[in-house]
This record gives sequence, structure tokens and C-alpha cells, in this order.
Amino acid sequence: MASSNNKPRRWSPLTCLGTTNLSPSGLIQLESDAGEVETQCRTNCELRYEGSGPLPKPVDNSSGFTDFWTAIDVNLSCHVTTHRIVLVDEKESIAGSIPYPLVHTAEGKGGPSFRSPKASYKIELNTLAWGELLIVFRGGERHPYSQSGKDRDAALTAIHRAQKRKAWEDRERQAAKEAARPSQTITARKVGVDAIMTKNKLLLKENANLAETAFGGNNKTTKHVSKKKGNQEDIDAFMREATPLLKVIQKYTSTIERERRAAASSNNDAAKQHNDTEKLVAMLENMGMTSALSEKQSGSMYHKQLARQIVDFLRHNDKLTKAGGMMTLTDVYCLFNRARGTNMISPDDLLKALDLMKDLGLGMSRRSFQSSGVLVIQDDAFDDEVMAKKLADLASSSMKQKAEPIDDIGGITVIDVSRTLKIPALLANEQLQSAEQMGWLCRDSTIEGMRYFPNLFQAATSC
Amino acid sequence: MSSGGTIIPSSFELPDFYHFPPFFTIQPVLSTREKQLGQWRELLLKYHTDLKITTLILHECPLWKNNSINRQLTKEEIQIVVDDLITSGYGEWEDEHTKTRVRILWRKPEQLASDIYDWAVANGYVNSICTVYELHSGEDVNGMSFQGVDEELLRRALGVLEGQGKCALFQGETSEEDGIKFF
Repeated sequence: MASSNNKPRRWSPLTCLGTTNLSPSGLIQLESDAGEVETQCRTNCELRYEGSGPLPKPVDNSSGFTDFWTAIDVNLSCHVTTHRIVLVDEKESIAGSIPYPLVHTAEGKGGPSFRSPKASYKIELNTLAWGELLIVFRGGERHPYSQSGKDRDAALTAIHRAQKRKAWEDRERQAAKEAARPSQTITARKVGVDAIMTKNKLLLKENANLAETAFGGNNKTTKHVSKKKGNQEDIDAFMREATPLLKVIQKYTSTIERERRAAASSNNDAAKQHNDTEKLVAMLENMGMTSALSEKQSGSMYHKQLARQIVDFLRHNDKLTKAGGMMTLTDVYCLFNRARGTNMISPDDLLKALDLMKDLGLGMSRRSFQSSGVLVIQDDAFDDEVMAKKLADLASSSMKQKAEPIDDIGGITVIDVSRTLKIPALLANEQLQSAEQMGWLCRDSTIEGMRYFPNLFQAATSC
Repeated sequence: MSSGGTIIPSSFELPDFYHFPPFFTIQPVLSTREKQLGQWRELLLKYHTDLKITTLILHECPLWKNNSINRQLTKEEIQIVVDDLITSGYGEWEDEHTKTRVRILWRKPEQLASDIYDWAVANGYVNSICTVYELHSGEDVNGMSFQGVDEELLRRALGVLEGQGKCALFQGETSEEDGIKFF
């Protein structure tokens, strides 16, 4: 608890709950290795203890409390996670948790009734350690009453789901399942090669079943279950099996790595293995898991097609030409994805597609500038010389305009070029530097910035 | 030995490129830089020979800053220009360690040496003697490149000639009366 030592601590239901540490910025520290995840968060809540007398102070830290007991905590936010309910007082940086194993029941109470049409929405928690606790929902700033009803219902549903799922028991369940798997138990009795072969067969079968339960959902639902509820149960089933599923996928990717390396070193039998691993790679790429897989682009069909799509997109309405024949990759990425709307591409996809463009001869290719490393997509018709000459002309015309001797000396800056040629400043900078390297321009560097002039040094005779 | 003042006298004609702002930024592109440094060399030599200044004191030279276009060279850039001058043979450090003064060799000693020898031959001084004084201030040397030249420089040139076996030096009563015999 992040309270200071000099101020006496409040004695209220919140401070009597289980110790909860907040991060320095006030976030709840979830136990992610236990798989704890926050599912709901609602603000404007209150915590009340309706029993007679005060709650006992927490056992582990009973010093520094005031002697005055308040039965209500106000202005809390209520966080429902898979393992507990956490209530946070953000102003004072105090938080308290109610773990589900200690919750006997959670019921919705309150709401409009005959006698009190605007009675507040509550959740009544029957806990084993602190008796009956009440979480009251006060709603938002607008329509507080109807909002509070929604808050309460959402929180209650989340609590019930978490209680049903019993995520805190996941660890023991997994361990027990592992031990009980036929591949472990049956083969314990067998010996030698027989044991290994049977074990492998059973493992494969289990992995197949795993995928089915994870993705297939609960098939035992009755016909009257509404569509919404069915989806929810599917998701629950998937979440439960998520961890072992992840392990299977990781195993496959490491197998691919191994096969690849083996195929690279030895050439015999490489053909057959190669095909299998490539098929697997293609399947996984399709699902979107490209991370561990390809070292260099395998030129997969997807990326080839994507390359063509991107080129068509940039040619449509002369987008690339209007941008000056050159566009930064961030611009391409943003424009393309915005146009697509759904089924967006990832930055990796864009990079891979880009690499293929040159080989496919699509008229555009990627280019990186040497000094800064900026990556752009460039029309093949784009000529550096042409651009450099354009810039030199721009610089020359800026000098003829000079009227006053001191202030308006002439020369062009990155901003000038960007404004005149209507290209982004980043590209303007690259073009100016490139023109300077080619000898068309020379620079004038002051504390005010960098200006470029036509290279009059070249015309001068040297001694 | 005279060293320059801190203002450019109005009689000195500044070249066009002195008013070109990029002149005061040492160019990163090598080919452009070479041209630029060549121009600086030209300027420095012209300035020092026209105003008859023999030593360039780095921090006192008024050429590094052009107030009319509000541009100047930074300390590092001044160093680059001076180093280039020295590398090209037109200057040398008077103080090798502190590097604040450069002796301007507006004519390389070798150049002067051949000029002197050519003049000696043309005026029939071969196998006869003339003094050092006569070389830099005599009537016969009117219009020659070594007229009015710094004595130190002259001696350097004569040293070169001696090395080439084209003259011999004799001690006189004063240094100005030292004699040179041409062969």
C-alpha cells in the first residue's frame, strides 16, 4: 500500500481487505505468470460494510491506523480480474483485493423498486473473510442512474464468469492433466522403441484434440442457447486451452528452424524435407505467424500478390507521381491500410512485398539513402539528376531575387523545397543532400539552419 | 616583420566569392571543398602580399569574418583553411607547438630561387658578387618577383640555390652586406 508513514491510515472496509500493491503509476500489478487478466473496470463505485462494528485490521500490517472507523469508501474504481476483485482509491493510492476463493456468492441487489424508484445498483458479495460487502455503483457524470445499472450488470457478469472459470486453479489443473495424459501413463508401462512410438502416436492424437477443443468450442450446448452466449463459451474454451496451444505452436516453429538449418547444411534428402517445411511455413504465414519463420523472403505467393496490389494502388490516380516520384514507407503503409479498412497489412508484410517489387519488374522499387538510412519507395522513372537540376534551378532563382544586401541573401532551405515541390520535409532533406553530393549545390551552415546555394565553386577557376 | 591589423583596409579589393555565403562553410563534398580551399588560399596570399604582411596571426586576421553578409568561419574551419595553406607549401608554422602564427610564403622558396638565378644570369651577375641588400632593394631588381621580399625568405631561396650549386654566400659586416656569388 502506497500510503506515507506520517499520515495515519484510514480504517475502512477498503484498508481491511487483502494487501494489494500498486505500481508507481497507480496500476494494479497483475500476476501475469499465473495468467491473471483484467476483464472489467468501472469507476464511481463505493465499498460498504453493513455489519455491526468495524472490520478487524489486516493481520500483516496493523500499525498506523486511525482509531476512527468509517464503514463506507467512496470514489473507488472497481476492477474485475480473472483471479480477484480489486477496488482502488486512486486519490489516496490505496487498493484492496477480494480473491474469488474467498467469495461465496455474488448477487445483484438494488435497482428501482416500488418504494424507492432511484435506489442504487449494488453487488452483494458474501465473503468468507469479511462477511457481507456491498459494492455500490454510482454511474457516470451523465445519466448516472442508467449508467450505474450498466456498470453493475457488466461487473456482475464478469465476476460470475470468472468464478465459473476458476482461472486460479489453472496451474494445478494443467499439471494434473499433463500427468493424466495417456501418452504419459500408458507409455510408463511400455519399454523400448515400442514406448517411443506409442508415445508419439498418442501425442499427435492429443494435439489434434487440443486444437479441436480450443477452436471447436462447446458442442454440448442446447438448441435454445442464444448466439451471443454460444460465442462467449467458445471463447472461454479457447482461452482455457490457450496456454497448451501456444506450446504446440512454439514446438512447430522450432522444428521448422531445425529442419531449415539441417537442410542448409546437408544437401541429401533435402528436397523432401524442404517441401514439407515449406508447406508448414506457408500455412503458418497464412495464419499470420511470421515471426520465427523466414530468414530471407521465400517469395511467398501472398507477398508477390501484395506487391502487385501496392503498385496498382500507388499508380491509381497517379499517387506516387503526384508525391514527386518518391514516398516514405510510413506514408505508403498508412495510405494503403486506410484504403483497405479491414484485412490490413503489417509493416513486415510491406517490407517483404517491397523486396519483391524489383524482381517482379513492377516499375517501382525500394531505395534507402546511404547517410540516414531512410527507406522510400521510388518510381523507376525517377531520376536523381533531374531532381538535382530542379533543385539547382530553384536555388539559382532564389539568388536573383536578392535585393537587400544583408538579410535576404538567397539560398533554399528544406522547408522552401518542401513547400515548393510539395514533398515531405524528410524527402526534401534527402534530395538536397543528394544534389549536394552530386555537386549541383553547396551548403551554407549557420546557427539559424542550413541553406543550399547553387554550386558556384565549380564554375570558379582554382589557383 | 609586419603582422596584419584587425580590419580589412578599404583599399583592398575583396573578390566576388567573399560575398557568397557558402564560402564561409567548409563544404563536406570533397570536390567542392577543394575548389573552395583553393579560393581561400588565393585570397590569403593576395591579401598578405598586397598589404605586405608577412605573418598571419590566426586570431587577428580580419578575413575570417564578413560582416556584410553576417557569416564567419568557425575555429575548426579556420584551422582547416590554414592547414591547407601549409600543405600546399605557401605557408609554414612559426610556432609549431602552439600553432598561432603562420609565415606566409607567397612565393615558394624554390620559385624565388629560380627567379633570382634567372635574373642573375640575365643581368650578367654570373661569376660576380652582389649583396643581399641589392637583391631585395636594389635598382636593378625593379619589377622582379623578389623585390621587397622578406629577408628571411630571400635567405631561404638563396639556401636552395646554394644547394643546387648555383651560388655561394659570403659573410659581410652586417647581414645586409652579405655577398652572393653566382655561378
